[in-house]
Amino acid sequence: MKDSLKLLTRFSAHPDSRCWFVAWNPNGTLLASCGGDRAVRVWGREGDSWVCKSVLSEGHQRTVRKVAWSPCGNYLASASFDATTCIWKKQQDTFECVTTLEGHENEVKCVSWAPSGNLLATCSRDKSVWVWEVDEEDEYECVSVVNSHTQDVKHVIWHPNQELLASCSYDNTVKIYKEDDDDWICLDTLEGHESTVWSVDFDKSGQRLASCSDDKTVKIWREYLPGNEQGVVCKGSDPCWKSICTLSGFHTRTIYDISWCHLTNVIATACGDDAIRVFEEDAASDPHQPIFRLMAHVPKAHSQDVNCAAWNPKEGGLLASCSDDGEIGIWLYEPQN
Amino acid sequence: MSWVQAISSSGEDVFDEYMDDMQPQQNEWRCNMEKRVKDGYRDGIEAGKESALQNGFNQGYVAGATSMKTIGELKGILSALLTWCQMQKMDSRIIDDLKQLLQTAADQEAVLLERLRISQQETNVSEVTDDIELLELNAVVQETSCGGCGNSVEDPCSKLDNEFDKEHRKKQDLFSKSVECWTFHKVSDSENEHVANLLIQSFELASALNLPAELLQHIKYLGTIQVNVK
Amino acid sequence: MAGPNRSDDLFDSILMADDRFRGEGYMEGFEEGERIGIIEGRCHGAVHGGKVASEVAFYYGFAFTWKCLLQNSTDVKAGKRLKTLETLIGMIQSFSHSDPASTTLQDDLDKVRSKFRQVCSLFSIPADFRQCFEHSGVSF
Repeated sequence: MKDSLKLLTRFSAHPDSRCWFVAWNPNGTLLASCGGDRAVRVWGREGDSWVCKSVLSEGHQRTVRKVAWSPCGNYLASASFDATTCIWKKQQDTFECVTTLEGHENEVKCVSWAPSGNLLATCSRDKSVWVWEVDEEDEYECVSVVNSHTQDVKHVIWHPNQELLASCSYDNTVKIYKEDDDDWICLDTLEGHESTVWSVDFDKSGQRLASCSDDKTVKIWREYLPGNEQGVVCKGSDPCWKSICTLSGFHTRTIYDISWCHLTNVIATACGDDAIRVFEEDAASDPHQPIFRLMAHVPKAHSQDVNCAAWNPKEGGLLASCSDDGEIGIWLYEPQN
Repeated sequence: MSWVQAISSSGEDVFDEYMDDMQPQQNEWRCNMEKRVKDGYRDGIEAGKESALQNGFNQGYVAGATSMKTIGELKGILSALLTWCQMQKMDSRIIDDLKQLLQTAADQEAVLLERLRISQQETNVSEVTDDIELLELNAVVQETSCGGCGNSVEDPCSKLDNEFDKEHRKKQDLFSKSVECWTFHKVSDSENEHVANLLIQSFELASALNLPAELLQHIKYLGTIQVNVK
Repeated sequence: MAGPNRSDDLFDSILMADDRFRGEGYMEGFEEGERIGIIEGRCHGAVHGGKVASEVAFYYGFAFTWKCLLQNSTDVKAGKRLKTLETLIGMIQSFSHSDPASTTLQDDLDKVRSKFRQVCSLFSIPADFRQCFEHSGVSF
């Protein structure tokens, strides 16, 4: 089992610092990383090794916590503890900061681009989630400030094919938002985790959501429409989300990140116990009560906390991870029957 | 918004023991009865306070809100004008004037808030002192009444009732007086005049800027409300 | 005639006096407590209500003024800004100061604050500029 996740390469990305997050560009050829050294780096593959193509170091005054590529792949957004979000435009191999989004009161924790490319979401320790609209001239305007969480908001991510947004927080909940009469409102609050929810990710269909938490568990949530056959009660005409599976007993520390592969349907987790784990759904299990099996477990994937795990969007089974040790790991998952 | 949410401190201990002051030659029964009254009084005061706080908070909230609206809105208007003038890159003299006016409005707001806060402390302290004094008075009343109660316990008690009633009325007067004070604090003429002056200055400045008639009308309207309150 | 009962009555009266005095004290204290509670609550409420009302009124004055200033603007951005201002004005107009115990008050206040922060963002104004004038002598 342990052999099914193979290390392809490992390299120092943010020396003497933490590497907080990695993000693949839409066609899977570039990997962006960010860290405590206030820099964003963009990496490209050359043969078997990964080389740094550009360093974006002028944008932020403090730690860069997350990075996100636009769906077209020409823009990169970086969220920083300096309370700003920078938008970088790609020109050949260089990146130029074209806009700085201000408005959050303090640390911006995450940024995410909607699949349409017209909307951007940011979240912050100030408990708010902001939705920004992008126009043709690269101008960004805030369309909504949503104060639904009661604590630090850790992560935001868009639904893969609808204009729905999910966020998770130090208040132990996950929230789903939709647009409503020119504003964005919370349509459901997913309660069940017993501590901070660090990250969430949708599956390919967007009907299911995986969340990972400080309570050392992963939860799988499923969307139910009003009047569903399973008798899950929804409020009004909005869909609702129900926890259909909890993975407990696998992780020994906080789970910081989760990635649901849209090509292979497997789930990878990044954990504070320095390990990376891969889970696969049992195809024969009831879709309303699925069973997920641990398929790979690399105990010392990094020498410190693993902060992020990200599946490549074009190459099934290719996984990037990063850690407090400042390094990036590139892995290949090959299921063994 | 509940009382508990708004005020975190639980307030001072209202009642103190006075047994030390009692004369040692008083007989035990009297002493006990007085202690009963005091125990009851102490429990009663806590229960009574608890039961009335939220109600009082609600009343005060509405009154405080009414008294602070105008100054808040004026600050908003001036801030908007200031940001507008800065965006239009207007003459720095106008911008300085606006800043000055806004600062005065902010200071005035602080004065009004402080006024609300001070009136709160004044009433609290005086009320508590009154209670303690009156209670001592009651103790004396009890002593003299019970002194000659050889063949009837009914009499001194009814007499006590009368004395209590008398004290009630006294305290009620005190109470309404403090409420009056409080109301006066809230809308004192001089404070209103300050706000009215600010409104006039703002109106003049806005007129000089050739602002839309609707806005000038609005500032004027704010002034009228202020006068009506007065 | 009532000789034998008289001493019993007296004895009962003495026993009852214990509760009676305590009860008298309680009643007296309760009324006094109510008065203190009303006054104390009223004063705390006044400060609290004053702060909230001033803040919300600030947003209203700000939004109303900008609405007037933008009304005839031909700027491409004006449309969206006006719409957001009008939403904020609408929210404040339906905001009630009459019931501080209302369960939705804090929620409504949060929504107004959020909308104001959006307005600030649209106008490229730092949302914390309001604090610049909280203390005397600090310039914009």
